[in-house]
Amino acid sequence: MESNPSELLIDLRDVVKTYETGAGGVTVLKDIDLRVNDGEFVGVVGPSGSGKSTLLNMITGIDRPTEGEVYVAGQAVHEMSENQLARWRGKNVGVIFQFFQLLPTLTILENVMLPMDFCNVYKRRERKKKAMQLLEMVSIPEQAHKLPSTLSGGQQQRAAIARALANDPPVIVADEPTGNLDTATAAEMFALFDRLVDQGKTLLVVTHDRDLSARMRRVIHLLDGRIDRDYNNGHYRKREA
Amino acid sequence: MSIAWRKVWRDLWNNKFRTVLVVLSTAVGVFALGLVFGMSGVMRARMTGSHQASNAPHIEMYTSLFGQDVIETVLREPGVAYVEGEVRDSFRWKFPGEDEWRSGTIIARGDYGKQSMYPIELLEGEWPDGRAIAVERMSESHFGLPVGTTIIVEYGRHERTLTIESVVRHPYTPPPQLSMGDATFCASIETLAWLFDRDEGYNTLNIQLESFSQEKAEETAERIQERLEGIGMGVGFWDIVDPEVHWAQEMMDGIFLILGVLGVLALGLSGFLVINTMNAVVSQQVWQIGVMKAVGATRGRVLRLYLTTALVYGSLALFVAVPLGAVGAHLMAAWMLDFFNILAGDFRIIESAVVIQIIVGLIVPLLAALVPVLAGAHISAHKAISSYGIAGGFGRGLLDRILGRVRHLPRPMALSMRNTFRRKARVAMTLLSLSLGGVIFILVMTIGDSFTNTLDVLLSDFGFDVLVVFDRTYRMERLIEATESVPGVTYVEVWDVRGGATLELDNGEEIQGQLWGVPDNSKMFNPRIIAGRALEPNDGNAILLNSKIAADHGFEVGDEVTITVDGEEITWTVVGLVVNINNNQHDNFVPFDAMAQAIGNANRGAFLMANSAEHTSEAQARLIEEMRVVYEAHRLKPVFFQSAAETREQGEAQFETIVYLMLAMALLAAAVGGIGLMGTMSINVVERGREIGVMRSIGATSLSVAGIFVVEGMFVGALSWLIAVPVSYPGALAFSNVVGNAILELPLDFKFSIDGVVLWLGIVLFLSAIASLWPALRATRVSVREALAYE
Repeated sequence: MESNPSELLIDLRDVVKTYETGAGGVTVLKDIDLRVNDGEFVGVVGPSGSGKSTLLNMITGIDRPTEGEVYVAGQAVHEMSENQLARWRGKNVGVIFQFFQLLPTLTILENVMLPMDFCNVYKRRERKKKAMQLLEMVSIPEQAHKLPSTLSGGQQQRAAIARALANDPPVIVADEPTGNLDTATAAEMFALFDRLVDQGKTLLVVTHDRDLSARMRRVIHLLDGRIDRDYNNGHYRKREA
Repeated sequence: MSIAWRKVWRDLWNNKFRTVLVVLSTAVGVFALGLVFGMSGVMRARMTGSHQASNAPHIEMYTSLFGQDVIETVLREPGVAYVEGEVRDSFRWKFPGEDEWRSGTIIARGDYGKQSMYPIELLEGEWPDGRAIAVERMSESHFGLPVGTTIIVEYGRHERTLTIESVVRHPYTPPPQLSMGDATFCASIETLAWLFDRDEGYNTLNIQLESFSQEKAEETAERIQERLEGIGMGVGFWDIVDPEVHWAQEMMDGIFLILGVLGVLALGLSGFLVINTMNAVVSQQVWQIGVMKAVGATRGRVLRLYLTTALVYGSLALFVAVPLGAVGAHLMAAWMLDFFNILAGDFRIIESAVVIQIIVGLIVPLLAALVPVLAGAHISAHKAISSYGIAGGFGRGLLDRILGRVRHLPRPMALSMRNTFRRKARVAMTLLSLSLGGVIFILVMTIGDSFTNTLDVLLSDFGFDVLVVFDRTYRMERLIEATESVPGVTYVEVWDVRGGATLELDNGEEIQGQLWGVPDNSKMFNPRIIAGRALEPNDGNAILLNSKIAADHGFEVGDEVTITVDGEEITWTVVGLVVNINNNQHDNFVPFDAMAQAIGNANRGAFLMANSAEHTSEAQARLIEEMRVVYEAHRLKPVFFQSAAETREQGEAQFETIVYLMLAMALLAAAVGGIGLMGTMSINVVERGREIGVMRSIGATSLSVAGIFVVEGMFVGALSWLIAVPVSYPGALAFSNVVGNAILELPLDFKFSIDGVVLWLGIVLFLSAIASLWPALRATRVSVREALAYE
């Protein structure tokens, strides 16, 4: 491997993803080579249909590559079975969805505890305390016992972030996390992401928001399923300046 | 409780409407199984139990009056185990104020406290004594003869008034509608002696043998007859009763067959209902499965969660359906058994029915949930992130493209039609269960119609308006002349009918029936001939053999049969096989002249058929009255009159049970199919709450949303009807052959029930409209924001 293995967290090699449709095969990702180190805050941008979400799905193991290899935290994601993936994902990758996707019949606290139950990471009696700490971290401890439908969009997304952090995974991926939020709330969300990166988490965030992508340290620009540009925001700003 | 289990519980509790729907549609299928299998179980058990409890005599011998000494004599005969005496008399009775006499049978026993064979049970009041009599329960309800009723009994030219003071059950008395309209009463020996002004004594011997076989019973009966005649007693005739076979066994076998077939169909129907319901429930949760997988749930975990949900639904459905099914089965069985004078007895649970219910109620939901859960666990994580919640998936298949090409429909109508096929597996299952419900309904209605049709054909084999039997033979010219002088009579034929005609089989077995002497060129005789030809003039010793005898014993056209009539052994050549349901299908037909010649009875007859211009039952009754007057003037003694209307009533009564059973089953099929449909359709609509939100957000009113779903529901309903009708035709045809062969030993005269077809269309359209309207209206009450945010 070219990079230092202790620093390299995500490693995609020659990843191709083709979907079969009625009109024939559509290749959404083409020869993607991508390396992300531990503690990076990576933005994935690009026009609709450029393959952003598919790229995230490759990393989370929610979808499988047609060709190529995907390593995350030293694990060959493309080789794992569905069940191995589910358990591995629960412990190693926190997923944040655009539409929050909180289970409607569970309270906020229970939604956060659910991954802990599934992956059995903490002792049973510690789970509630741990989940409350996460809700405090995302500033909605007072909403703990409410059902998702009674919360605002911003509060729901905070809860979803808390859920993504439930098992303390090294990688957090978020697909358009602010797409359904107003500007002020979106900004708060990003402040939260910054703090997570400061705590040593690796974040990959798909976004459309130019202002927000400007706040990310590294930006990957996808175009027609290929990495069009992969640049460091520091350089970009300097050059612009 | 772990978080995941809390989710299971809350999914059930928070969606009470859906939970109730799922439980109800599962329960209705499981209930139908309990009903059909339970009913069959209760009836079998009670029939056997009742028959065994009736402790039937092996020989019933009708004699002149005798006393206890004769019982002792018969008891000493080898092979005889037990003997009881009773009195049985035919008599005429009527209600006070009535003109017409009715026929009845009155039974008396020495000591009602010590009965062994055919024990008569006291149901109400005291054992009859003095001038009081008891009425048999079937007669009580049929004629309306409750305790306290007074009847008038004919005795010679006098009349005696008796009061009914108790109700009894005679275990082997068929209901009056099956036994030529006879009412049955019970009295004490003294009462009978007083009533008929004669000595006390018995006239019927009930005899049980040490062991039963048909030959042994006949042999013993003949020996006893000789013995009794040797001591100067008169012996009328005797009957052999097989202790293992209830008199209604054949009809019951037919009913069990029908129930068996319906049971299998119900099993299929409820299976589909349960599968469809579970499928819908799990499909609704696909995105949640995806989210859970995304946050670390393994496939096993997801499976356990939803299978538990399915188990909970199944258990709740069982909780409702098992007791309801058992109670329903008991009530239906009691109603059916009543036709055969069998009491249903205490409520009982039929274990086998419950086992089938549990299997279908628990295992089928589990298996049904397995498929969508496995599918959901596999694909949904991806969908959960990328999809908004309104599932796509329309437009790929051929059917979609065809539907997409249907133009010029109002947009909402097009939406309804295309929506129907969005979830093809689901709509296929809904169609399957709906169609199966329709098939059962139409099939059952068709069997009912075919039965009635068959009876129409069979009961039209004699074209008389009135049939008269005389006390003895008279010269034919005298009978014809007298009858033709009756006002209204247009045509007369004199027949000869001989009872006790014995057909001998090669194995020594004998079949007793009536031999009918048919006049040449008879206009009254229109038999249904299924092989060979009709009788022709100068046919010699030709016979139309009953098709059932032919089928049972392998006779064909051209065979010779030997029948003994009035002691004369005559050989006949079979020229045709004929369907005739009288007398247990034991009657045969020969030319009048051939029979008269063989028994030396030329130009005489005791049996007459007459026609009048009018064929209504009132006209026939009037004709009988006119005939009585004329015959009395001509010093002819008729002993029996029957109108065609009465004959038909009796014939129909025999099969009333089956027709009613079919009707009850048709209603059941409609209810099960209907409620099941309502459940699945409702779940389909509930599932699309989010879609309703979208439609409302782009301007659809509640009414137009409801309209879209109602049209969709009715479209599915109509489609299922289109499938059910052609499928039910061959099914009903095959089933009617099987039922006909089981009950009548001939295929039914098939008549496809158009009423059933039309009725089912109405039922299915109505129910699908209601089933979709209700949840759609409910869904429109949810605010757009809520609908869009969550399922």
